[in-house]
Amino acid sequence: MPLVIEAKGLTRVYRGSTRRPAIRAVDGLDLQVAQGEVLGLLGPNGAGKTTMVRMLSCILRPTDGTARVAGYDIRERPGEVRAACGVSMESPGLYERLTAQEYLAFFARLCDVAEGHVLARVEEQLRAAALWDRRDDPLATFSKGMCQKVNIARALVHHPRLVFLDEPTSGLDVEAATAVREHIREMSQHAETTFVICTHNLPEAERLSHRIALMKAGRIVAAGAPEELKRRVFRADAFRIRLRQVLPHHREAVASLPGVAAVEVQDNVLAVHIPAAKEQTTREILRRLAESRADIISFGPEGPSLEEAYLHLLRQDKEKEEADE
Amino acid sequence: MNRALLIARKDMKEAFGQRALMLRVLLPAIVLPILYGVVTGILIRGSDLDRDQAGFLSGMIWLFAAIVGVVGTSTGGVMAAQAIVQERLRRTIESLLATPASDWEIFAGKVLAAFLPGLAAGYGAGLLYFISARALCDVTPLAVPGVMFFVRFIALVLPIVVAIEVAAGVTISGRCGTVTGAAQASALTSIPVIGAIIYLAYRAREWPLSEVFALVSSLAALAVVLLYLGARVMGREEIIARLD
Repeated sequence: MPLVIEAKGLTRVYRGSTRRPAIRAVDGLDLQVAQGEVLGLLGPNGAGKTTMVRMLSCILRPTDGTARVAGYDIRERPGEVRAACGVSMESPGLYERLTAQEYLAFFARLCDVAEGHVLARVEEQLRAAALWDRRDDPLATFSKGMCQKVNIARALVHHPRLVFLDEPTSGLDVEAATAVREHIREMSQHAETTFVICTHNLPEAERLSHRIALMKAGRIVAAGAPEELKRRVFRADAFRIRLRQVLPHHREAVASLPGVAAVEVQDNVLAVHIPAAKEQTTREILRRLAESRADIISFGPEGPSLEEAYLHLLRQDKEKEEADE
Repeated sequence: MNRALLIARKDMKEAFGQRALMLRVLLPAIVLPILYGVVTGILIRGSDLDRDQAGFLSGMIWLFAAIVGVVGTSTGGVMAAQAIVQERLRRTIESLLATPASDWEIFAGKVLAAFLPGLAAGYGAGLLYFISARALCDVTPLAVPGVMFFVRFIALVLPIVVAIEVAAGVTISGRCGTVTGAAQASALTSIPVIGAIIYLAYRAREWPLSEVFALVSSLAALAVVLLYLGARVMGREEIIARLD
């Protein structure tokens, strides 16, 4: 598959002032994304995700480094890059006095969709978003979830090769978030369109993305398929035991067992990582817990969650940084 | 240019849908010229001689300029003031910046969206002035300075001063944090602009054509410089820097 994003050493430094220091929001970022891929971009607040999206979509100029997006250099051909991209930023406003149809038609025309195709494209997007019946209503009358769908439709109306979605379900209720997620999933079925989705919602990223990149302090600290990332962190599945109350000696009793790689405590759950899952080991774990008078509610094997992998990778990076210092 | 027109059309549609904004713009644009037209008509009717009437009208040129100038620049100024700041406050600006429209096209669109209503309001105010004087007082205040003066004034000076006001307004809008702040700052810039237009209308009759031409050219150059500076400070980088 050809590459849609090829970034090399991409850096953005926000100038400082007397009141605040300069910020290196993106720091020498290298990234490659293939056509048709759905990349989930994860990272804590201030990791540089939005700045990276803004640079790749030519809203901001990089301070250093280069990138080619949809075959165009972002420094030399910003207009072509923007035409090839659809961008939906976090909680954007809409022109509330326009109707949904007028709003999408305005952006379609701005993005050079041929006049003869504008209405067809608008209809296509509004139908996909299940908003065709509301096409003549002013956007001021739309709910938050509907506004978000219109916003995503705007990013897609000119059939871009690359779509950036920043926190697409942020602030939505469960029902609206599910509808938006389903909408994105349907749109991402088109093999020719590439999606970059920035989100804090890890299950969402896992469900929608082919590959996940984890950003921290302007750098990508890990990238790979969700399963690959989890395997990279935990070489084996976790055996989870829910107790009435986890006490320190419960953890110690299990951690000291041969064949146990690591034990993590989350709420009242012991996650025991076993490199080679053996029935004998799990039996031994339960026996030790029973001996240490642990009140076991439930137990069973379970794969590590992306959240665990995410936290582990961030922690790992922090430890590495501290060691370097 | 097509994109600039699209942005301008969208902005005007959005602005015309705001009742409060329209009231603020239309009220002075309608009331002021009618009032001045009637006052002028009554004053002229009160002077019994045609010669007096002519002399009086000649001296009242600055009033006409003031009406047209105030209405044109204030309309343009109010529209310009909300051009960027409102988009920023509503967080609609980033969607616009993500389109293939260049910085210049976005700026031109914003300027046009304020300039065209400003110009239309100025022309409309001039027309209302004449209509109200004619309809309510049966007086035609076109008599003395000559039709050509009005044509020159309307065709040349009004577009230039509205352009100056709008360029300043859009630039200010890009820098202000609130719509009110932008409107106030924009109103401040309109004071010297309106002063210049009145002075020009009052003194221009006595000056040789070359001096009038020089003054108008200077104003046009100022408009171009302001537009250029506005386009420079209204780049994506600057707008985004103020967005976060």
